[in-house]
Amino acid sequence: MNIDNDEDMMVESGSTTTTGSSVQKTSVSSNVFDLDNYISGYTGFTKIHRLMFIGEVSGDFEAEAIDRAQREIKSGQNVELYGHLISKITSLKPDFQWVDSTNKRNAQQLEKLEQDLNAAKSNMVKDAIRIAHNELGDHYYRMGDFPNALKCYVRTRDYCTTSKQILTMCFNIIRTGVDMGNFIHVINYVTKAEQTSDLDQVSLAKLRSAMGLSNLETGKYNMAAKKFIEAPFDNSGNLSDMISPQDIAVYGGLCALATFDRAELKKKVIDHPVFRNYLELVPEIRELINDFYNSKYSSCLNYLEKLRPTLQLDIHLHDHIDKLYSKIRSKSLIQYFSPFSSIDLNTMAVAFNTNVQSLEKEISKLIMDDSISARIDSHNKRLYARKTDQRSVTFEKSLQVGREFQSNANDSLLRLNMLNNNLVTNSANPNQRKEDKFFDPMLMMQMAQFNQQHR
Amino acid sequence: MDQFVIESTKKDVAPKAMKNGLTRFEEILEHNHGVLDNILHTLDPKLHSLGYLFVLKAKISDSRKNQQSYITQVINFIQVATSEQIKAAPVHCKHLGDLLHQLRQPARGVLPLKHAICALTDRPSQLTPIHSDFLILCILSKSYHVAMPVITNSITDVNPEQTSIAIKDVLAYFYYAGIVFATMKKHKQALESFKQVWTAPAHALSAIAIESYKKYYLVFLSVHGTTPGFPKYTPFVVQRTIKNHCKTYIDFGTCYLSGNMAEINTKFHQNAETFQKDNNIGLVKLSIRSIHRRNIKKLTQTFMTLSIRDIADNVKLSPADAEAIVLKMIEDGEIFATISQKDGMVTFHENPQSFSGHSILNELEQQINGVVSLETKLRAIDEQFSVSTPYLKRLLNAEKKMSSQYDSYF
Repeated sequence: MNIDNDEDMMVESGSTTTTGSSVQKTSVSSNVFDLDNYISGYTGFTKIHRLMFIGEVSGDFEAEAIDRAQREIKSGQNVELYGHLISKITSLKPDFQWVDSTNKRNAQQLEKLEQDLNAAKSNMVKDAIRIAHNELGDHYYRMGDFPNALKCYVRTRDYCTTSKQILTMCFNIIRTGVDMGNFIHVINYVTKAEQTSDLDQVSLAKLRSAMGLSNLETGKYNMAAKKFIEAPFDNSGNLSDMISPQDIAVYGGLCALATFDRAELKKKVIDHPVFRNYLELVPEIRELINDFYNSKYSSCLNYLEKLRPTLQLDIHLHDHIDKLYSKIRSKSLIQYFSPFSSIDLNTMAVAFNTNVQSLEKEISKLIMDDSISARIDSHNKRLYARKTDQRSVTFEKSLQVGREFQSNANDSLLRLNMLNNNLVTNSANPNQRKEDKFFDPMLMMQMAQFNQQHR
Repeated sequence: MDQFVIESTKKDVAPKAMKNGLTRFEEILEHNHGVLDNILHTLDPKLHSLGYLFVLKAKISDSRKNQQSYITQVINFIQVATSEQIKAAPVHCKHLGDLLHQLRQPARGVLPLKHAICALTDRPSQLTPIHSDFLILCILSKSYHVAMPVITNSITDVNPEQTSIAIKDVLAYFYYAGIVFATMKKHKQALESFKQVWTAPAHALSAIAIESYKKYYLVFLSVHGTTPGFPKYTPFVVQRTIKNHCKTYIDFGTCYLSGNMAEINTKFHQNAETFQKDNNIGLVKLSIRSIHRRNIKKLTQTFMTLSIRDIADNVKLSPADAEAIVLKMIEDGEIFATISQKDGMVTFHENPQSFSGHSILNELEQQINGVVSLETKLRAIDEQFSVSTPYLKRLLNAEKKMSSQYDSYF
């Protein structure tokens, strides 16, 4: 999504090349962000939601975003959301006339739909009931009453007869779930929808991206990346009420970068016949993934830093961007060092656009959580790969295992003997039943354990 | 009375039979405190150990006896008594221990009791009630080193019929053994001993188990830096209830995990009184100090050289303190490093242990022997079980059940 605006910028500045490096030059200042272009990729509720989010997060685009959000809301029926917006932004003048008329219209519509539903129910025509429920759900959805919309959609479930109808139901619930931020529902119904037969490409794309989104929100980046990559290519705006194709490229690309290893990255991302199409939409992501794969970490990290302000305006990525970035950064550090047995920290610092002190801190953190097997010579500023002496390790390990086995066996022998002789801590209560010592369940358990150890 | 003397000076009588003969005099002896000393004079502690023992036992209930001379009598008896004879009767030395404690001379009993333990056990792996009395005296007289050879033996045998040992003696033994290990800074072994107490078979929670769990918890914190869990053989009642009795400790442990020094210290001061009351304040302090040590140890694995100032920064201490700790750790053999006073650099080395040479071979051989003897023991027990009637009965029943189930399918 951010790419659109960057390309726009390029056209404006008269640049003709479309390579990554020229993009880099034109968008050095942070908040180069074309709201028009960004938001045109979306429709429906998510459009309003995204606008409001931008209004909240970004100082530069606050006014414009709020203004657009207001217009969008007014073209719909969502009175509640309007009230929410008004209460947050004090500078806006509330349009009571619109609120009143919309409220009235909504109520009328609701009444009519409920009548329809009752009529359908009394006629006992399954399909009619389903349609009536659906329409009522749609109406609730448009009004912004998601819990009720969800209820209506779930009710259609009993009246679905064809797989297509089941799919419609699932999609309705998924859409509502995503907008509500209730991703448990999304995951449930995506799984359900995936079981139906003859899914077309568009539905598949929708399901995969919904699943990817829920995995992203719950922090399972690896799964998220896999799901986004599996999504069939679709650039016709069919997903616009949830996600734009550019988003798929960005989300998928970043998650993959943070969690895949080198071979996976090559096979599943760079050479993936379908996902490549997505990456073409966002050349920056494509370039930075290529840079990462080709070990040009400095340029890769540069791209990432430049993307950060725009990505922070994204409603889904906003909470995860720092985590993903730090993951990518540590991965690149690990990968950079992997072929060396020793390396000068100064050189490494240059490669990562940082100074030696902070690099040393970063690396020591990675060593401490066992991501890099190396030691830092802080005096001479060098990093040495750790050579493990397999022989000593084996000695140490076997000695320890031996000691542990002996103490464990001894302990259990003692417990066994104690049980056998009825040496057991008992409460002073004399009424307690004295068990036959050989059928004591604890003793039997220990015996079984012994036989196991013995064999 | 004369009858008793004649009976106990009889020769060529098996100790078991003699014991049965002497038991009926017990009451008479206890009612005639005045003549007991005379009897002792006529008996020879070496030849007539069993009779001597009965008289000494009767003297326990004499509240007007000369304590000093009694102690001398007992100690003398222990040193010369014939072990075959006294093994026939259960020996308790609790009274001796209590007396010595009252007179504030615990050291006098340490060696005699050690001797008694040797005389009364067939194997070093056997536990007697005297073990715990011995350890109390060792702890009271601060002669921990004497206790070490005894408690490093791994205990597997308890025999209530021979030694009339009770569950309390077992628990007390391991509790005191844990304390001795902890004092001698053998923390891993201390953990093992404390664990024995609260994992011992139980249908109810004992006070000894609770106290030892508290100590276990603190030692575990200082050794491993995390809070302990329960092994799966822990009795159910312990797993469920023991934590309710150690709330202060569990609280402290949770706070400890956060790694926030300021918070840990406030928690420590808040609960200092409880820790003091439980005699655990030293262990708590130890666990707090171990945080720095662990952090420094981590640094040694991360760095090859690091200045004292950087170390101090990393573990949040003053450079002087940090240097002192590093020095202490090098001395203790915990880390391998050299400090250069010239530029304040610490160079960390790898573990110089090369695992070759005599010492390691000896160690290996010892361990292999240990495992082999264990294996023999296990095999013997397995055989014992596989021919025991109740086990076979149970097996048969299970088989019957299976076959009847099987039949019902057809």
